Formats: sequence, C-alpha cells, structure tokens
Amino acid sequence: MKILKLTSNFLLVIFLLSLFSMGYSNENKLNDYFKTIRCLVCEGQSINESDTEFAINLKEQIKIKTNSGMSIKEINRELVEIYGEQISFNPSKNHFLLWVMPLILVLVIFMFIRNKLKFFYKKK
Amino acid sequence: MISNLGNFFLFFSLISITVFYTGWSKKIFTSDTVFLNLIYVTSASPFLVLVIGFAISDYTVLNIFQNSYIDDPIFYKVTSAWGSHEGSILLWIFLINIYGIFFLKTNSNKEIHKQIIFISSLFILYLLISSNPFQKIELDKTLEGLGLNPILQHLLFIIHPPTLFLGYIGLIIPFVLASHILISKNFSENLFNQMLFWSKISWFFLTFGIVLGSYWAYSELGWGGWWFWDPVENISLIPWLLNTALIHSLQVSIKSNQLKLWSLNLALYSFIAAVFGTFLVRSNLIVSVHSFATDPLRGLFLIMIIAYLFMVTVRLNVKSVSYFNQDTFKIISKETFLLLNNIFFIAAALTVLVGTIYPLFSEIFYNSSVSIGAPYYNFAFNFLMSPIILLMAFAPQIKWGEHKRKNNQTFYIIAISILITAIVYYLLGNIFFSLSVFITMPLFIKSFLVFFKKASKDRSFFSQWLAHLSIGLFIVAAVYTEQFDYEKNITFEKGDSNEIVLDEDTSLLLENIKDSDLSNHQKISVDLIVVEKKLKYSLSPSKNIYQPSGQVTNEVSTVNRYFDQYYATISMIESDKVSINLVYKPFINLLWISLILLVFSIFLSIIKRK
Repeated sequence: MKILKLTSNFLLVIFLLSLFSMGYSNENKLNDYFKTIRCLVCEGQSINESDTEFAINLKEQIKIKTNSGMSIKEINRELVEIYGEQISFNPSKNHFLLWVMPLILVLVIFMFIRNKLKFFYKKK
Repeated sequence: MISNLGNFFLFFSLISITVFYTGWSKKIFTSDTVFLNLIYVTSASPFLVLVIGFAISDYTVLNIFQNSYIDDPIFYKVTSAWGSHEGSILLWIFLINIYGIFFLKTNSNKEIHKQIIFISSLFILYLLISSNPFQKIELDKTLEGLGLNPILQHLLFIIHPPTLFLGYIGLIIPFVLASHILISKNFSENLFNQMLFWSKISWFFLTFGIVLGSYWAYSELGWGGWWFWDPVENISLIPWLLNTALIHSLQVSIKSNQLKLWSLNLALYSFIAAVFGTFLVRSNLIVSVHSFATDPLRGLFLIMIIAYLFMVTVRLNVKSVSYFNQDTFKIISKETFLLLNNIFFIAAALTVLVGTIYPLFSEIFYNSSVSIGAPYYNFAFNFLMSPIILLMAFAPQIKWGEHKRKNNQTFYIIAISILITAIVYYLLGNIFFSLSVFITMPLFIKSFLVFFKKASKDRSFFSQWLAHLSIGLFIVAAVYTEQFDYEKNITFEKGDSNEIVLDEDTSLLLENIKDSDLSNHQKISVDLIVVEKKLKYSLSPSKNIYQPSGQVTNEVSTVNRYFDQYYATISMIESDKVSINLVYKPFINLLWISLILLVFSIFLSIIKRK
C-alpha cells in the first residue's frame, strides 16, 4: 500500500505547485490563425510551424493585411480564392457531411445497439 | 555475411511455419510448444541480425548503407535499424514473435498460435517480396553510408517507435483470442480475462508510445506544439480509442457476463485498425510529416494483408450475428455507462478515420483537395469527449446490475462545479478554459470524495481512479496551455542593445553566440537569459549542421518555471543579426505529468493481476 500513499502525496504536491503557475493572457490571436493555414510546400505542416520561404512570406503578408485593417475572415476568403481550399486546415461549411459526421456516428452506433442488444425493452 | 544470415533466417522461419501447418513437425518434435518456440525464435532473429549489421556498419547491405553513417555514435548506428521502412517492418515481425513467446507461456493452445505465426508469415512474405532489408550492393571500400535522418537522432527516437509498435502489435493477442473464441464457441471467463490482460499490456505501450511521440515532437521539431493532428498521429489514435473502448467493455463481459460479442468484435477491429494505420503511412496515400519513401507494390501487398484480416473478421461477424440478441440489462447500471463509453469512443475512432481519409474521398468524388486539421478535430473531440468526461465523474460509483441508491450528492457536485466555473471565468475571462473546468470539476470533486472512502484501500479501484483523474488533469492542463500560451519573435541586431523588453516584468538578454564541432555535426548555439524581476532562466537554442547530408536542424531549448516552460528556437541566424522564437507554455509540465500518471495507472492495474 506504500505505492498508493506515495502517489497520492505526489498528487497533492502537484496541486499545490499548480497554484504558482498562473500568469499571462492570450494576446497572439494571429499565431492561432497561422496554425490553421497549411504550408503548401511542406508535408502537412501549418505555416506557424514551418521555416520555408512560402510560410515566412505568407505570414508577412497576413501581418501586413491585418495591420491595414482587414479582418481574419476576409483574409481567409482571399487565401482560399488564391490557393484553393486546401490552404486552410479548417474545412469550409460546404463539407456539411464532414461536420455532422461525429453526431451521425454516435446516432448510428446507438441505433445499432438498440436493435441488436435490446436492453432498453427489458421488463422485469 | 549479414545479408545471407538474415535471408537464411527469413526463409527458414517460413519453411518451419509450413512444416508446422502440415503437421510434419509431429514426426520430429513430440511437443508443439517446443516447435512453436523454435518458430518464434527463428522469425524474431532476422531483426537482431540487422541490428548487428548496423552495429558493425556492414555496407554490403543496401539498407544499412542508406540509413547509417560511419561516424555516427554507436547508439544511433544501432537504432538506425528501425529508421527505415524495411527495418521497421522487420521490427514489427520481431515484436509479433516476441509476443508469441510470452503468450506461449500463459496459453499453449495450438490453434491460437497457428494464427499468430500465420500473420507473422504474411509480414515475412511481404518483406521478402517488396522490401527486403537484406538486399546486397557491390562492396566499395570507400563507402561511409548516407546517414540517418538527423531529425531522428534523438534519445526519444530510440524508444518511441518500438514502444508504439509494442502497442500496435500487442493487439494481435486479443485479435487471435477473439477469433479463437468465436470459432470454438468457447465463451469461458478465463479466455476473456486473458484478453483483458493482453489488451491492457497493449494499451500501456500504446499510450506510452503516443506520449513519447508527442514529447518527441514537442522537444525536437521546434514548433512548440505537442499534438498536430497529423495523419500519422491520428492513425495511432484510432487503435488507442478502440482499445480503450475494449478495456471498458471487457469489464462488462467479465463481471456481468454481457456484451461478449461486442467485446470480441472490438478486439478484432482494433488490430485491423492498427495494421490499417501502418498501411496508410507506408502507402503514401496520405500526406504526412512521417511519410516514408514508398513504392506502390508495398501498399498493394499491405492492402492484401488487411483484406485477409478483414475477411476473417467479417466471416466471424456473419457467423456470430445470431448470438447478439442475448444481452439485456437495466438502464441505470454500470453496464449502461460502460456501453456509453463505448459508443463515444468508437464514434471518436470512426470520426478520426473519416477525417483522415476524407481528403482522399474529396479528391476522388468532388475533385477538390481539402485539408482537415486541428479546427475540425478539436470540434469533434470537444463534442464527443465532453459528455464522457462528465459521466466519468459518476460512472465508477454506479453499481453493477441495477443501481438503486439515490441521493442529492450529484446535484451538489454539479452546483459546486458551476460555481467554480463562474469564478474561473470571472478571474481569467477565458470561455474555453472555463468550460474545461466545468466538465472536469465533477470528476475532481468526486475523486476527492471517493479517495478516502475506497481508492486508498482497494488497489484495483485505485488504478482506475488514478487513470480517470489523470485524464481530468490532462484536459485542464491541455486547454490551459493552448489558451494561454504566448509566442514572440525577437530579433537582436549587431550594435543594438543586447537586452529586449518583452513586457513590464520580463526581458530577454542575449549572452553570447558559440560555434562548436562535434563528432557528426557542427553546432551553433545562442545563449539567452529570460529575466523576470529577480528570477533568471537561461536558454540555449542551437542550429545543428549534420554530416554527411549537410541537413540543418533546429535544436529546442526549454527551461522550467514551476509547471510552465520557456521554449526557445533560433528562427534565423546571420552574421549581423539573430532572430529568436520564444514561446511561453504555461502548465505544459502538468500535461506531461498527467500523461505519465495515466501510463503509470495502467501499469498498476497490470501488476495487480499477478
């Protein structure tokens, strides 16, 4: 049982330590946006993560555009027009089926269980 | 020499598997167990031969020549054995047989082992036909090897792939056990207990492997992220989600004798998911940072293996479908909650699968390429996991069979959670973090209450308690890190001040720039100090230039600040200026600790069974 005590003491220490770890607020929304833009010359990275010329240039352009007052939505629309839909890791709402897929899957599995297991019909 | 020895073992194991199948082995060996051990050892040895080949740098073998460099440290020379496609498939075969040897100790049923060696022989055939690691080249004395990809030269690379593979391949035992149960119609509790044991082993390695991979990406790739929803990460998540569901449904099968077919099918599909994952990575159908250089033949053969496994499974499904209607249980019972867990976990696994192959689908049918990344998966997982985590607070205390006791505790817990969430929102003003607090708070409160009652006394309950609690910690830490992280790109120019103010309390100090030569690379490092009022944190990110390829890698430097971390990389270095990318990751260490606790909890539950 020693191992239980050790781990639970450890958990307590973690809890206390975590009280010290507060600070900063999120002020770089732009970086979060960069994470949703695909670097087209890399293999599956976003421009936030890439050091290629393509990524650096695109980041610069987006920065200039936001400074000139364009909203992120407008910039995104422009990028999709230029590079095609694959530029964004955030598929558009045209892919309706994709977005509702999690819900559909839950319902399908639920229906399957209802039909196959029938546990909801059990009477005493 | 190495080449001949390796090929000899590969052929010899194929021959002995055939001998075993035809039954001639009976004439030579009286015991099947001895012969099975012989097969397992001979099938496992080619990998060891390859490792020796790498250790002695035998450049008459093409694979060794391509993936190792004469001046690499011996450590990396050996681990280069699984740095290539061929080597990693050989590792896969090696591990199947290692599992076989251990499984033979607990269960020596010949029929089950026949399936294991058959699957192993399929992979050996695959190696021999399309990607033989022992292919020879003409010997040239001046050869030095082309070198292992520098990104892979990292301590974690040595343990991450074998651990993950142990996790994937561990699923082979539940797979063969499940198909054996379905074929022999022997639904005994002992077999289900064995399945639970082996799926826990696999779960341990899978979780550990994924965590290691994640930590590797965090500490090596220099992007400051720990999960990228890259196709290969997704694919490792599918077997993990299915295996998690399997462990939960097996509890129902063992404790209350229900959902047996459900569990068996989950076991079958989990292994298929693991093999399918490797196939997708190798076939180059999907663009990923993990891609291997590949040719179509490899993909074709792997698809045949999957098709075979799939056909076996579907045939078993069709045969067993009539058993399905036997499960019945009450709505408010532990069984229902475990089934709910299964619904959401399977839905999550399928969502990841759909998201991963949807770009292919879209290209074929809509003729437009689409990228699916973090925004979609975050949405899907928020939706699918939130209810499960809320339920996780209460489900472990629900009784088997029928739950009758009613009290107001649940109501109070939810009320307190809402109150705490409101306070957190008021203090921090971040809606996402507040929501994560809301879904995890009942779990924390309930865990706290239950701890003194039950978890500190009962070891099997304790491991489950710890696993659930660490998931809660993980979610809070992960959301906090993502919501409150902070990234700055700072440029120091020659002649300017070497101190740059970041905000009112902190500033960054440039100490010095060093250039040093190491055995297989040249290292340019920048020494920095983050000054925070009285506290100082030193960082030293570097750029490494590797021989012989001349490839440049960015080495990350991190420094801990309680649970938080400063994370620095060099984004650009020229003669008169240096650009530093500084990321502040709050709570990131709590995230790693929670994951270690998760792995540790499953370890506790495995050793408890002995």
